[in-house]
Amino acid sequence: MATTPADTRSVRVDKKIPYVLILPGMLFLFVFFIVPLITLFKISLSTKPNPLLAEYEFTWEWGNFTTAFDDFGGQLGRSFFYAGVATVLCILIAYPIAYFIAFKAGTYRNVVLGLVMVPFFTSFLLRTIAWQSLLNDSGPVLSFIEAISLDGFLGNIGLLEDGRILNTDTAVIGGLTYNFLPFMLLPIYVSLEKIDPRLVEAASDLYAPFASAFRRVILPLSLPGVFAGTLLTFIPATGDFINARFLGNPNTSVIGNVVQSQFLSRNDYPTAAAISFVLMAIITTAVVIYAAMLGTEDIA
Amino acid sequence: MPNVDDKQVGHVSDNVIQFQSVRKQFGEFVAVEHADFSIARGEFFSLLGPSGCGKTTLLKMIAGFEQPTSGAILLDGADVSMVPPYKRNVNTVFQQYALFPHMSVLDNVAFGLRSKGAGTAEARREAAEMLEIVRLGDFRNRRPTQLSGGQQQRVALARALVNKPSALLLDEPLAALDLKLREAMQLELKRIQRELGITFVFVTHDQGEALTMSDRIAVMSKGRVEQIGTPEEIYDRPAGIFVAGFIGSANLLPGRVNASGSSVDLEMGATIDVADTSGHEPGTEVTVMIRPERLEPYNGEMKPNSSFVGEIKDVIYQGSEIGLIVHLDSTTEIVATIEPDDMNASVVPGGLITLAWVPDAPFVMPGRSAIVGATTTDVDEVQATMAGTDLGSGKNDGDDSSLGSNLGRRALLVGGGLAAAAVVVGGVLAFTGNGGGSNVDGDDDEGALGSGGSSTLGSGSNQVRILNWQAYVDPSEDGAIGTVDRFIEATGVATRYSEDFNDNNEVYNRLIAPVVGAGQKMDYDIICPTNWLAARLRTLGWIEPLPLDLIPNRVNLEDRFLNQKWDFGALYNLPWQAGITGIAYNPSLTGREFTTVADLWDEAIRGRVALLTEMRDSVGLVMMSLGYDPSTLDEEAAMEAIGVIEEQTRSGQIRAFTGNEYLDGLRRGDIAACIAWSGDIVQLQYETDEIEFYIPEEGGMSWYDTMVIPKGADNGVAAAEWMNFVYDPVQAAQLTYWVQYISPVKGVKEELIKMGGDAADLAESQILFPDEATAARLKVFANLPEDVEARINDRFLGVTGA
Repeated sequence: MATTPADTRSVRVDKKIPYVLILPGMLFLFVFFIVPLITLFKISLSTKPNPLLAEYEFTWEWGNFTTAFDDFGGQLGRSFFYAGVATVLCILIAYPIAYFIAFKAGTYRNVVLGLVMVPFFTSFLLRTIAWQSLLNDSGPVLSFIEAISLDGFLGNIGLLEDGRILNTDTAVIGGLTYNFLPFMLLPIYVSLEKIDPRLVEAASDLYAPFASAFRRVILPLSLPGVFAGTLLTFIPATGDFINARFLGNPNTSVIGNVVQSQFLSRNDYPTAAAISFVLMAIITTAVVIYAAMLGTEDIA
Repeated sequence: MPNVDDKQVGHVSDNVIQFQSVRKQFGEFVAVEHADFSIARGEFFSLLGPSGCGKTTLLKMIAGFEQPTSGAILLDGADVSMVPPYKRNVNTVFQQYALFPHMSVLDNVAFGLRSKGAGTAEARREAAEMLEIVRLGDFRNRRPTQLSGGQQQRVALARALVNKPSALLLDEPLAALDLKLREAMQLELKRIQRELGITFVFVTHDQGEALTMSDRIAVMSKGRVEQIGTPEEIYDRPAGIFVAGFIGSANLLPGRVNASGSSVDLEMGATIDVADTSGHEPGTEVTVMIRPERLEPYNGEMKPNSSFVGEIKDVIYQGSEIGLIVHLDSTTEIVATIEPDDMNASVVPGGLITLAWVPDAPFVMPGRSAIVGATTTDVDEVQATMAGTDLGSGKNDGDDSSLGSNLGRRALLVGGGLAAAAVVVGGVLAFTGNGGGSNVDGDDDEGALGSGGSSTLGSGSNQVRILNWQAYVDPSEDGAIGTVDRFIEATGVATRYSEDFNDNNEVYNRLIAPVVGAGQKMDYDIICPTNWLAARLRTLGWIEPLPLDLIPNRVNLEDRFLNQKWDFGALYNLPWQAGITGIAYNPSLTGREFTTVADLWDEAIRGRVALLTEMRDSVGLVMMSLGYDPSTLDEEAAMEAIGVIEEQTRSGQIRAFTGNEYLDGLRRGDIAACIAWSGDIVQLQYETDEIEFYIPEEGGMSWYDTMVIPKGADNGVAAAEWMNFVYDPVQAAQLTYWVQYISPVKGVKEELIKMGGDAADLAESQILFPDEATAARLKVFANLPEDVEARINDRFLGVTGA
């Protein structure tokens, strides 16, 4: 009864088929990723003979990379700082929500998930600008903080600037956190949802109280989700300029603002390209280090 | 090695687990009722029943994953009903093993010991010993996923047993294994249980498994324990019809005890003798059970009341035995299993057979069985095995798409000298494409327009496409017909009027330079750059000379616009609106009257000041506050002004650099004072009377936005028609009435007075119609050579943070 029919693989799979199938994808990547990347790299090594014209000559001008660091180190540093803090906040906020949805929401799972996602059907830009009306000097957030007399304390720990939230670091980080939350939440949710609840029972059965079971079983098993969420949050947050533009001030500008301005206001493609490459290189390095850290950590 | 070989389990009073009137309810559903029994120390105890009978719920209540609704569960004599699982000294082997996939086999087994506080080394040593017992010593460093089902099973066993629990709970642990392995594991489990002497509580729906392994079995049905007993008791003396039918296969024959008290009249007609009526009085409804293996082929003469004759329907060869399906009458089908030795030529389908039994074979049970005849041979419900479907989390690698740009499609080369020549020639376009692929008039079937043979302006007259700034034309609303609609009505020219002009630099870099610079046509016939950008476009040769003969109303152009240096004679542009850059502020926030540029740096409004991203406006005003004249080219002075702006930015005085958005800030009170455009504020003053606008004592900036025709535009005639229309003073007055900027059209003031009402009031406004003295205080930013502009712009953008 419990016999499986012999695996008779009579149809021989043509070994070429998989390669043929990935061809369109590879071609797409080549045309729309590799070629532009090379082009961009070439631009980053070019000079601009006429500051007003969108044209440049390829001259192996490595100076653009020096400019990227020398002139825009501050923005670069801020980008990573803001993105880093926002990513950590996203993890802290998204994890419990994802946990709740995966393990506690029961039949309301999809409803709660839907509620989390609904605001994100409106445009990114619109949502960010909407934050201006929440955070402005006479807006509800500040009024509430003042009503509960928290403004002094928040000012002292540097979250408010002269009693303001809008156009401060706090607002930029808050905006980034808000805007990228679903990109953290969904992967964590997916990884938590995949965890067999019996593993948690098993841990409990093996004398582990909840905190211990969480630390030793749930958390390590959900790390792939945290990792994916971190990538999906940190990388775009690093390049984001919308939040700094609408919620920050001239002193909170990030590298995205510079790239935008280099492309659109200064028409300086070589510097913009160089900055983009520096950003790409740093992000890649950071991700590799992060992956290595998560991968080798002895969790058990 | 502990060795408990005491098999007198039935009499052991030392109970590990006791159920006391336990009841469990999930909502309306009663999962367990009246569970009232004990499990003895060292016993192999099975909970057997079909799915949904409550056996797993009982197990979960022992483990602590469920709490009884009422009643108590005692573990080692103590009530643990409400004790959480991690505090109970029992361990579970889960159905799908529930091994931790991220840990090695060794760490899985050591998990419980670590939880109880053992050191890593100690825990691993003990775990390794236990792995030896389950014969997995060599696999300790593997991950569970690298093991076979049977091996995983043994890891789960080791993981539980290593903790030396009072009882080991096994939840259908063998269900996922194939038959051979299952049989091997049954023996293995027995061996381990014997060796360690730990109490096993084994949940299964497989009666064969339960019979093979158990010391005692509790048979459950619908939440109730039907019978508890040794396998022999349960098999031979089932407590009821359910147990008889569920355990093994049985032939059930309903009837009544007859008057003799030692035989039963069956419903099918026959009467059979029974050794024992189990105390049932004559006349009582009973069911007689005869196990198939107790029926034997009989060749002697008929034994009354202890044999049947029937017709063989089927012969099922099963190796060690042979199953026969026999029809006693048309409705009663029974099964018999016979030895292969008893086979002969007459045992074939269709043949008749006599089946007889020994006197103690029929067993009498109370009640009437619903099933008459054979129960199914195999009660294996098809358990929906929960296959752990592993949906791989597809990690999408985000493709970094890069901006591709079109190198080398350069069609034009424009030098300053060449552009200067154009001014000298005057009216006739001096520029000629250098042959690098100029396609501007390639497929233009309407031909070129203009006096010069080299003009590339198209002569289209049916439609016009205009790119202008936001809120820069009166819309059709509140019963009024806007300028665009009036134009369409008057001329019939299809008009596409777009308000996407946000920022001079951005429009230049995004829409103009990559298109016109590459020798292509823009998607517009008229664009509205500010004078300085129009000057740049003029220098680059990227705009067309206007077909002035088609614009008779140009005579209404205010004289001062005719003698602008960059377009002397205004041959390439018609001004759209002019404005003043000054300062807007909210006196209730500043607490005092503001009059100068330097007032912006007042400590009292720290963090509530905005400057414009438009470099010429912000830098020009600050230059004037420093005593410089922005209308003369002075790079050092401009840089000094930017230095001041930088200082105020870094100190937190300046909150933002904005375009039109400063209006939102003023409205909300986030901005107390800012550099602003006159018309915006006049419009804002209709909403609120809190905002004031002033031209600083040091002076204000003057600018104007133009209408120019980009190189090669198709619809020259229609474009001219639009320009002519808006240069009619009657139309221009309507426009001014709404946009509140300075009109470059003569006669607007008079028209406004004619309109009367609040329109007439506007004629008095110093901001719309500055008098001589005011006009003298306004400066136009100097023309910047491209390298100077690039340097100043770069520095200024750096200060704004970009």
